[in-house]
Amino acid sequence: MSAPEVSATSSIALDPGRARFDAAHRALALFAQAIGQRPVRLAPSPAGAASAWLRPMPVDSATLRIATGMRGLGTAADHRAALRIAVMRETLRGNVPGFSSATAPPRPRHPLRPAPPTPNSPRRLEQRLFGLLERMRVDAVIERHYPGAHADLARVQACGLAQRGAYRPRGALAALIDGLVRASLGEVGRRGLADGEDLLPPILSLADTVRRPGASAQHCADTACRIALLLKGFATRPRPQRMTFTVTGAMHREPGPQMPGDRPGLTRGGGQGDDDDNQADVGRRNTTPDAADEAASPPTASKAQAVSDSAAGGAAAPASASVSPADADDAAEVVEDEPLPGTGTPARWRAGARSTTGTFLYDEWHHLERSYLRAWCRVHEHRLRGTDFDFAQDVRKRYPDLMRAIRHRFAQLRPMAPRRVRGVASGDDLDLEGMVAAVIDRRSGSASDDRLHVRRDPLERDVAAAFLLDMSASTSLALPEAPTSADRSRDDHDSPPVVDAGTLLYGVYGSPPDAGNLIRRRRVIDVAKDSLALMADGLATLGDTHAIYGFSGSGRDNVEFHIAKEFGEPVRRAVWAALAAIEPRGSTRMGPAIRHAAAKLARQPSPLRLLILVSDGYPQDTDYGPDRNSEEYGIQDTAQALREAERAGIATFCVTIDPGGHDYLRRMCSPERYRVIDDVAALPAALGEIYAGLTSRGG
Amino acid sequence: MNTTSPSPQPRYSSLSDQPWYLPLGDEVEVFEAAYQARLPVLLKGPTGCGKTRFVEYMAWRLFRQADTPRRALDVPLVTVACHEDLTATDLVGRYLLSNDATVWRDGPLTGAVRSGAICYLDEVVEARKDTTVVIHALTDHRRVLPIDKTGELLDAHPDFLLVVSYNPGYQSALKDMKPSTRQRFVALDFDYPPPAQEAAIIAHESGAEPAIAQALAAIGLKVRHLHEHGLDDGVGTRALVHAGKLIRGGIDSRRACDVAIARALTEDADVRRAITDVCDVLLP
Repeated sequence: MSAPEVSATSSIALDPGRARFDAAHRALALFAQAIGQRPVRLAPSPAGAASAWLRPMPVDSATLRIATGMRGLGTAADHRAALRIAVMRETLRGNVPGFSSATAPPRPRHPLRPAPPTPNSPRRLEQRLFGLLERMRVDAVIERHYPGAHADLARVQACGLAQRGAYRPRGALAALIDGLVRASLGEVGRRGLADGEDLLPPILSLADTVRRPGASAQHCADTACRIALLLKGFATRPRPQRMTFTVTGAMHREPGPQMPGDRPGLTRGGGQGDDDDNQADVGRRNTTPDAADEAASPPTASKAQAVSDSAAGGAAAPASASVSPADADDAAEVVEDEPLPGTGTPARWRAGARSTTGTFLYDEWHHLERSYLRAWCRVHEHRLRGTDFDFAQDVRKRYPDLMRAIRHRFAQLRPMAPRRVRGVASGDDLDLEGMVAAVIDRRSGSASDDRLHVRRDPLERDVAAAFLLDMSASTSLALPEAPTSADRSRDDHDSPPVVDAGTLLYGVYGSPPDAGNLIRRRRVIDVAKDSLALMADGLATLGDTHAIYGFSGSGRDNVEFHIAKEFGEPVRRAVWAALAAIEPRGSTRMGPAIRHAAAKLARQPSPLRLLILVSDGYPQDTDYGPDRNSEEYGIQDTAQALREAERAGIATFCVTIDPGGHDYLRRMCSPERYRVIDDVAALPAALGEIYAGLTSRGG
Repeated sequence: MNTTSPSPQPRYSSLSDQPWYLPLGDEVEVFEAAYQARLPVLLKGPTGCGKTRFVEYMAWRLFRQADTPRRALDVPLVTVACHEDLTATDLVGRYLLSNDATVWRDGPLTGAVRSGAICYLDEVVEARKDTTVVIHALTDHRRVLPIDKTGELLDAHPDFLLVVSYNPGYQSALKDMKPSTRQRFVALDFDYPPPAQEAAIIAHESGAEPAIAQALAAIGLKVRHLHEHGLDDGVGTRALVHAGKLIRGGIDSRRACDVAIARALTEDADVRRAITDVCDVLLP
């Protein structure tokens, strides 16, 4: 049941913008929600800000892709401000059917299915113009309504212009588009190339209308169509310059030596310098919409990396003359070819949702040597953070009756009789005994006590409970449930195999890349999350202080301890979001996780302290004992950790959904201290009953 | 022998000056009509949206205007901020020791019932459940206040009115108001003012420049989008006014918003940062 967690250290090193994004993404997501009035998810995109705009808006409008690849900015604060501008731009961006969402994002691909070849399908010119104009419109909105963002916006635009400074478009059409891109970045006074110079002013004039107050995304779409018409009309002009258009609509240089950056898969027009033929070719092809569109052609594979590295603020500029000329749209293809979050490097994406709050060393019990291995395990404590603030609502919808039942059950646990507190300065009644004593004291000349009231305080439970959830990769197993009608209606070609996906994933890949996107069925971890959410809700009603932890990891030096809710922390939206952020990862080294949870629980002053371990199998890790094929070492260490907790005055209880759990649990703890749940779906209800039973009888 | 003063610490308002209040709907007319019929009033709304100010304003209108016969009352408004330890005893009164005798002291509610003032129980659902008993007797046709400890059944003064408030989204399910209690009141819903009106309120209350007031109102609007998504409660107009006052007092506008809004609203570092970002981009 072990699997190494996917490491993304290299991606951090290569992409500092991504690292900055990861560090700030939750705050930025909340910022986006404040600005845009709706909860969104943010996903990083290494392209520059401008190039990201040239990409159609994804169908999933709840996910905003934020450009993280801006360069040329100064301080970390400048980079943070640039990210904020990127978030504002994406948040305020409009969506026009046919322009914004014409291109669906790539579907999540099953990890065993080979990646399809990247098509060289041309993009529609109108879509790209729409992207440019939308940016102009949104930038104008920012300038009008967000005065505090002026300086940041100007800096981002200037950075984009600077990056574009060295770019020399080849061809009049590319120059016209370049002029528009520069205008969108705030450049004024730009003149077009001689051949298209007369066309640039009307294009810019048209484009400028989207900056006006009241301009909508639809207006941008209309304007994009008008500008596209102008450009296509320009492409039909007879010109002294020789340009050729292939059947795929790609615009090419005149025949010449093969350039290193030339895009594979596109035919070079004109053969061996037959100018007449080339000119005739223009006449044949220039009526197709894609003719001018290819002025914004996708880059070559080799160029893609260069653009990715150099893209910043504005559209990318070719790094050297060896790269085939193209315009601002180059980088868009780079963006689109990137995997969506959750399909490519999800571990890194998830890793951004947590932050290490401390590292702790714990001994481990070596049952063969009958001794502890001192400071053997390194526990890294993380705070889980998420952005799915609707998780609470989802749980309520899934378990409306159970939630009520748990609340009702827990409400019955509350002591109803008030506690009378005597000898207080103010209260509900006078304390007659105290009064008699006070009168006697006074008459005998003694000092009397003026605390003569009785106060009725509600009797409070004093229970502290910690829930410790096994978050190992094995919990990504899909539940055996009937597929929904939506599942059945899906195209099988696009549907990854489901039944054994969990086994497949953690067996082949270690941590699953993103089981949530690949497996549509609910998983063990989903039910476990729901169970903990129901407990949190019920315990908030009951008033017992509680904490919710999870653990995973890989190896003794990397035991991960995840905190979804700490003791004393109210069950707020952030806690729900943290619970929602629980995902399967890594292995099951139970011993150090129990020791760490017990250490935290031991600091609680409550007389009844309870540790409930929820797992799906026996303890296992890559180096959990001398024999990797034997689970005995892990079982014995876990049993020892449970005994240590008991000795510290902490009641423990193990819940497992592994039908074979009796085999090892009976070696780890006494029968009254564990329960095996055969049906995973019964876990939420069972957990509530277990808790009620444990705390009502005093643990 | 003296005893310390029991909780709560009610606020007795003489209302010598007219409170400033900007009506946003027909709440003034509805309240006046309710008062004429002596119907208890329930004010619902989020924190800092003007419920307390509204009650003060209405008390002033009903008790301090030149043409009202109720001007003679010294304390027309008694406000009690309810909390989880507040009992019926705290509201009704208790015996205190004075020298060798026990003397009865009226609680704030009893005082208002006797004198004919408006008693305003702020966040009433926070109080303990035994307060329901006294509220029920005062809010139906009987208009009486039973005082168990003295055996008295006190008829409410003809001018007395009970007003309560609560924030429906703030309390837990355990502290929600029972239907049997809610139905005794005329319920007025309050919400945050629209941006233009909120800017006017901020400008008036804080003395901030109009541009600053408008920016603060816009901040309030945006930050409220985080309600239930990181924030347990939206930012109230009161907090925006506080920020305006700090700015008016010479504090940098971003610093003022940081201390009066972001840090006052949450301890969550990410939420706080998001609020700071909102303030940063909206302030001039």
